[in-house]
Amino acid sequence: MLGRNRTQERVDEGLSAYLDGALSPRERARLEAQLAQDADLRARLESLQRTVVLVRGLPAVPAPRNFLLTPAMVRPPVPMARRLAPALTFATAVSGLLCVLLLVGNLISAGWSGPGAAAPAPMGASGEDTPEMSLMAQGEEDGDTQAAEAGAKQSPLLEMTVTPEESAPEMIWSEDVPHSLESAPPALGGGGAAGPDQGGERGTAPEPFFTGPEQSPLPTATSRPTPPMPDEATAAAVATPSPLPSPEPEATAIPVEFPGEETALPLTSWLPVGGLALMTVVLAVLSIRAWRAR
Amino acid sequence: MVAAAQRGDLDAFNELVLAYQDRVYNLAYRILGDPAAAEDATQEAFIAAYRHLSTFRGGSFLSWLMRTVANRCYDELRRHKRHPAVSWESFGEMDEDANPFLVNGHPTPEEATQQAELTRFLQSAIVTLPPDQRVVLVLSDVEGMNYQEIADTVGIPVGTVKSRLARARARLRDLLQAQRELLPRVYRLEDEDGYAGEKPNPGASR
Repeated sequence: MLGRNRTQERVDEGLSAYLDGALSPRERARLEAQLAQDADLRARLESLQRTVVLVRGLPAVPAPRNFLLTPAMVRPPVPMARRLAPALTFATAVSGLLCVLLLVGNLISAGWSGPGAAAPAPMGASGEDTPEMSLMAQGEEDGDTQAAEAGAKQSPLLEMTVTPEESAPEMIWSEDVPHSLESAPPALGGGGAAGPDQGGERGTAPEPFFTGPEQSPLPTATSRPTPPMPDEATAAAVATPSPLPSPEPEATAIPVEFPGEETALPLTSWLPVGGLALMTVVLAVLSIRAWRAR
Repeated sequence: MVAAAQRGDLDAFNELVLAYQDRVYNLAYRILGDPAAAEDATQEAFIAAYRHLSTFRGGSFLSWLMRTVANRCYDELRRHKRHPAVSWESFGEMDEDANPFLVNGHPTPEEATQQAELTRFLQSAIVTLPPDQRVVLVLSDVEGMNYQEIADTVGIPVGTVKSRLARARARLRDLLQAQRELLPRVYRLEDEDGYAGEKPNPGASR
């Protein structure tokens, strides 16, 4: 069936070309010889020719209107980059505005929490004193010496454990400024109450006990609590004759020199500002390039 | 005029538009089979021709223009897989006033009616052809291009033009024979009295 169709297609192709005078003289002579002998082939050719005549006789269709061009029609199309320029400009403005707002917000927060940052530090110190004292009291009450032994096992130098353990509570408490402020008096009171026990504190019983669970080896952080509580700081300094000289000078120097300029905001608070600033710059560059695109 | 248009003279190009818009629209209409689509294709073809005038390297501007139109229509057919604007079933239901062919000639009312029926029938048959065959058939039997011109216009070998044209004609013939009862008697491919039409005269019909 397919072969017969293919054969018929070949025959029609020859007949179509014959009608157009597109056969070579040899092909034409051979086809005319076949036509003289084959009536069906002649009928096939005649029906094909009448079809062609009918199509060629189709009347021409006039244009229904004029297709004159106007300058607006032939204006070069606006490139894609140029079409994106308004959106990019808007995005640049939004990004810049957000960046400025976030920057101002951070600065305000830093300005307000600056004094607070100095406050929580001591409060943290006092706060840490409070649990320290309570723990110390518990340690004394329970006569728990296992913690001291553990601390001694962890670091033979007790001084090393004292400063980190002070820093850990400070980092926690300093984030909650009001709480630390509120907790300051009791802490002081507690410190005062535990005053008599400070000798026991120096006895290294509480320090190893507290450093056991959350030991953060950041000596600088430990220096913050000391300034507002000079008594405590000096007490701690005296209690722990640390071989590391750096924490102690910071503990005394920073709060005295710049008590209110310390930035309480962590680095993570400034990362979005930087990111937005970078994004704004990139968007601004893209906007300029988009507007200049032709 | 073409040279002036190539220098960017829009008025000069519009002179060319006025001179060739009937040919361009007729070609687009015969290929697409839809007046609105043909209008769009014609306008877009003139715009494209103006923008790409720098690619015209001389020769026949009409051939270059017709090539632009044919390619645009061909792309349109391939992009939208355009179906026939009219179907065989709707052949007898077409609006007489919508037939643009009635405006031509001054035949008798009966002849005009028969010719109108025939042209509608033929056009509806043409648009049932596959796009590649339709374009070649229109360029050959409506526009009168030879095989080489069609090959240059469509961008296919001459042998492909030959085979596509033969298939298009044969398919159109089969359609006309299948719907012979719808045709006016004078236009039927086979004469019922045994007359098979005029004797073929190869090459003379072009």
